[in-house]
Amino acid sequence: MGFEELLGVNPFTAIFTLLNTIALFAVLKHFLFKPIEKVMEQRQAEVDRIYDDAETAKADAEASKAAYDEKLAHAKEEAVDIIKAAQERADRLGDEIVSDAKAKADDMIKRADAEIAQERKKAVNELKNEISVISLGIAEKMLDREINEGDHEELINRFIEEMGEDDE
Amino acid sequence: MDVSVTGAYIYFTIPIFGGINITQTVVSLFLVSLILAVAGIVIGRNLSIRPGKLQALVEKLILMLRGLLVDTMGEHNAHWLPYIATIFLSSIFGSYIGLTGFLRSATADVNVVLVWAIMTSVIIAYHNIKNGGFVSWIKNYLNPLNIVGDVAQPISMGFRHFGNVAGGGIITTILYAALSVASTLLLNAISGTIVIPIIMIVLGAALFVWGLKSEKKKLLKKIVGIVFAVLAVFGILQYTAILVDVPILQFGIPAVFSVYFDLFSGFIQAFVFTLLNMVYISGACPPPEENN
Repeated sequence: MGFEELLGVNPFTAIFTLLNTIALFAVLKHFLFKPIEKVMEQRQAEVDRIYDDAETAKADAEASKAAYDEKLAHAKEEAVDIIKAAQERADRLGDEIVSDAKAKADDMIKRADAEIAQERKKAVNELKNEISVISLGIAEKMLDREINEGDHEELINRFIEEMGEDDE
Repeated sequence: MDVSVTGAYIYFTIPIFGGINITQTVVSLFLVSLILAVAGIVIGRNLSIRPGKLQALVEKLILMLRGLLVDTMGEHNAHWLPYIATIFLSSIFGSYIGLTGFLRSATADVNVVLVWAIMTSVIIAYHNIKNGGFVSWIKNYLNPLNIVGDVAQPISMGFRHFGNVAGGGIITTILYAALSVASTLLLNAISGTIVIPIIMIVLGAALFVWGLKSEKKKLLKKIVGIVFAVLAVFGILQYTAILVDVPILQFGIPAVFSVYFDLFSGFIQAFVFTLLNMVYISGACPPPEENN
């Protein structure tokens, strides 16, 4: 066939170009640009959501960390308090026990002392009586006569007392 | 040397409406649109929130274009992105399809780019009428300079794009013709006597061997050696009249020019055309608060 003029006007080419371009525009707009825009929007939304989630999670984590730190500090204080209280109580209890024991021991010693003294007194008195009876018997036998108890009791008692003083 | 500069090749003519020419331009533009549309549908169908490599690349490109658009036209005009992207993609691929060799750049046809420019003019007019009313739009043209301005705008836009791409094509055609002539001259010079090609072939082989053994500039010596040897071989062929007037210079050299005229120029023209579209449309679509 032949060639067209370099600068020739061809209305059919022009019409064809117009229709072609409009068709391409419609196709690209409908099948490429709209879906791409949609996808980009969706992605943006997803990214925003992920960021929001991350921020929420971060805030949560920070809050729980603060709470944990506070609790930990609190727990430490509490532990120190508990130990202190326990120590104080133990000290107090120990003191009480020791002083109690001391008091009891003192009491027991006192009582024992009193008992001892009483026993001794009793023993001394019994011994005195026995001695007086025995000595009366001895004297009776020696004198072979009955000594008037009433007359000589004073004499005997003085004798025993003198003996007791020697005893001590 | 016969160099003819023509428009698009006419494949066939549909014999209705006085003959519709199905030209290279039409085929190129149709292929570009088809490829772009199919690619758009395929990518658009397989979108996911977590993008693959292709989707990430496409999104990046779209975001870059959107960034340019928002910088130029403002955030309120962001909805123009599909139109601007259509024009940009059609333009750049319409230029690059000429690189295939058997198809002509669609943008090298004035009918195509002029239609795009007029589309923009219509959009501008529509928005001017919508914003200011029909009466004030008509009143605007009481000043004949405005008529000139609004007619010149699409023409200058369209012809800038068309001229650059078509000009690149013309220069490439001329370059090929010139290189063909230069090849013949060179081969004739070499093959005046059989001695020169033989000397050259020895020289080339020596250079190549030297390039293999030396430490520095190995590649350069090898390339120069090969070039000498190949020139000599074609010189011998020319001398013996087995192969005459081989356009050897057409190998390699046009590629360097093609980087500028096709790749660089194609991109720059698409960019400029799109940028002008943005500027003109944003002029007709002011921010909403200024509307009232």
